Amino acid sequence: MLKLKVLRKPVMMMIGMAIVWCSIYYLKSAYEVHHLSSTYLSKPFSNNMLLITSAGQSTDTYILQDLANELRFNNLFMPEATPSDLTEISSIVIVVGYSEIGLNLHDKKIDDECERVKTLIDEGVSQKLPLIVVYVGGKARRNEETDALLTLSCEYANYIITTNSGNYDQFLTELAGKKETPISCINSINDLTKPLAAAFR
Amino acid sequence: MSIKTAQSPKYMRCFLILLALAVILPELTETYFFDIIVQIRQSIHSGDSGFLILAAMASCILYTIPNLLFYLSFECLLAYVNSRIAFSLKVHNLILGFCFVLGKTAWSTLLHQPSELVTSLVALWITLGLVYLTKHKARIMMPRIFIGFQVFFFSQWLNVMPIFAGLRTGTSDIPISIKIASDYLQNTYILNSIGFAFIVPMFLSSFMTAMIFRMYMTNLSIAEENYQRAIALETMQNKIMDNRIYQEINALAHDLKTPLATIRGLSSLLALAKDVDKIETYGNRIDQAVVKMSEMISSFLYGTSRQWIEVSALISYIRAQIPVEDEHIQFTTAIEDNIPALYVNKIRVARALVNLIENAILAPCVTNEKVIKLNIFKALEDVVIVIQDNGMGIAEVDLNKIWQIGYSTNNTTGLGLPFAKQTIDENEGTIQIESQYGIGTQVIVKLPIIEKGEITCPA
Repeated sequence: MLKLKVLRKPVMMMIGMAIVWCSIYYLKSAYEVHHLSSTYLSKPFSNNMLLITSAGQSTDTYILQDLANELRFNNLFMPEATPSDLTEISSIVIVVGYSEIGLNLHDKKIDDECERVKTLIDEGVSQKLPLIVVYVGGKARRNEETDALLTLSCEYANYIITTNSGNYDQFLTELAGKKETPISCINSINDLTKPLAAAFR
Repeated sequence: MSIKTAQSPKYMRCFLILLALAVILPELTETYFFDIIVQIRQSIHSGDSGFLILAAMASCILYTIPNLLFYLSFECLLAYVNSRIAFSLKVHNLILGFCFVLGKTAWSTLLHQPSELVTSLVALWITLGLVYLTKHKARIMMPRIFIGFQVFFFSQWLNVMPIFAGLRTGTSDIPISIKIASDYLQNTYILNSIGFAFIVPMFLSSFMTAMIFRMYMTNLSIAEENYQRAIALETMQNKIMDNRIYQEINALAHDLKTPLATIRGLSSLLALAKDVDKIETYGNRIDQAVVKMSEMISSFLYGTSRQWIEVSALISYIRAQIPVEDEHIQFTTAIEDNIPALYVNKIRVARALVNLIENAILAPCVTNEKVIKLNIFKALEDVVIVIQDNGMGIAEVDLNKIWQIGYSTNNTTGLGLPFAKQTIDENEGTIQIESQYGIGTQVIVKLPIIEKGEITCPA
């Protein structure tokens, strides 16, 4: 009986560690998505002047601006762009990602943001400007608001770029499939350079 | 487990203050969240990981504050409730967990605040575990504050560490932005390393804090136990001393018989006497016997009561009370000539000296014949009374303990020496014991010589 009592704690600890390890392994494996291949465009869009804007005001937009500068694209970075900003613009890049703090920073609500994005897209469509939707928020940023913004943005998109983790449930593939919009799925944000370069060069 | 203390209303006030702070917190911290967004942008544009680390640090602090406020506020609330309704620590922890989840969910939903429930619950679980380790039975706040702050802070690093991205941690806006930016800047290993550099030492620190509080509690309980024991010992000693007083009363009652017998005899003679001179003589003697009885009672009742007594009378009185009938005991007395009278409480001093001589009689002896010497002489301004025996003596280690009440080396009550010392001290004298183990013991009592003119207010 004494031996059993002495062994009880180490055995319980080992069982606990095994449960924790299995949980971590399961969660990690569920998180990592390795499917879909990249699709590249046959003909690039015009890169005279890109308008980089945000849908949801997340910090992901700054990543795209940094990449555009790195690739030496002529770009106008306006996270809160409106239809009046489309003068002399050749292509629109919308980086989707809902950020409540980002919206608060610009003193906006999600409905205002949806309205702004919708009017911008409508104006872009009326001017026949190519629309590229980029989503690099991954699985973590996917929520009701982000999905609403993605649905809104992808409706008239000419090209969609996303990370595999962001498209873990094929949501973006389905949106692209509705109008047979070309879609590129990348493994990490650092792979974003290739589809961007292909799109504008 | 219910502890209704004066602090109970204070707990309620603390709960309300902390809850109010949690409610107004979004207003106070909003600009700091904007600063984090700015820092993330700076890190992306400049490629400087330093800004991202600053953002991660600020994020951890901002996420720690509401967690800590909610945890401590509900601890205060439960401490208050516990002062009225008793419940165990397990129930306490269950209610706390439930309130914490409910409070944080309501807070994040109603005030549109970011909330990392998984890491918050992990932190709460670790905190409660560590608080349990401290073995604090009462709902004391100090260990909860120190441990809670450390655990809630280091656990927030789980949110911003990309390595834990798949564990449902860091699912709110700021941690996601930090992790995406870190992925873009290819410095995820830096964030992971810094995260571990915080988590591991702070976990150890919180564990050590819990251990320190546990040791403190153990020491406190030992001290309290010792204090209780000391009180119990003192109570017991007082009872023993009371018992001693009853013994002294018995001795006094016995001593009072002598003058009473005198009064009785004289009064019977008085009834028969016809001569006026004899009646007067008998009356004077009865009066003397009454005075003697009065002195004896005063001496016993009041420690400050003093009487003049010749040393020879004192010794006679003592000798009368010591049954030295054992043929193996040789008792000798030597009194120096012309020793002045003593001004002492004669009943108490006599009883003290009787106790000392009884100790000498009871002391075990290595030889067949016990020799007890009582020497009295004058030395400078004192009358010195020396009681010397050839008993086993007292070991050196025991010499310091002999004045303690209840301490005895030969199965006696252990009250004789403390009583003797107290009495001699009260009479402005000194008592000293010298002993050599195996050879014998010598007790030296010094009583001051007082001139009759010095007494201004006789008792």
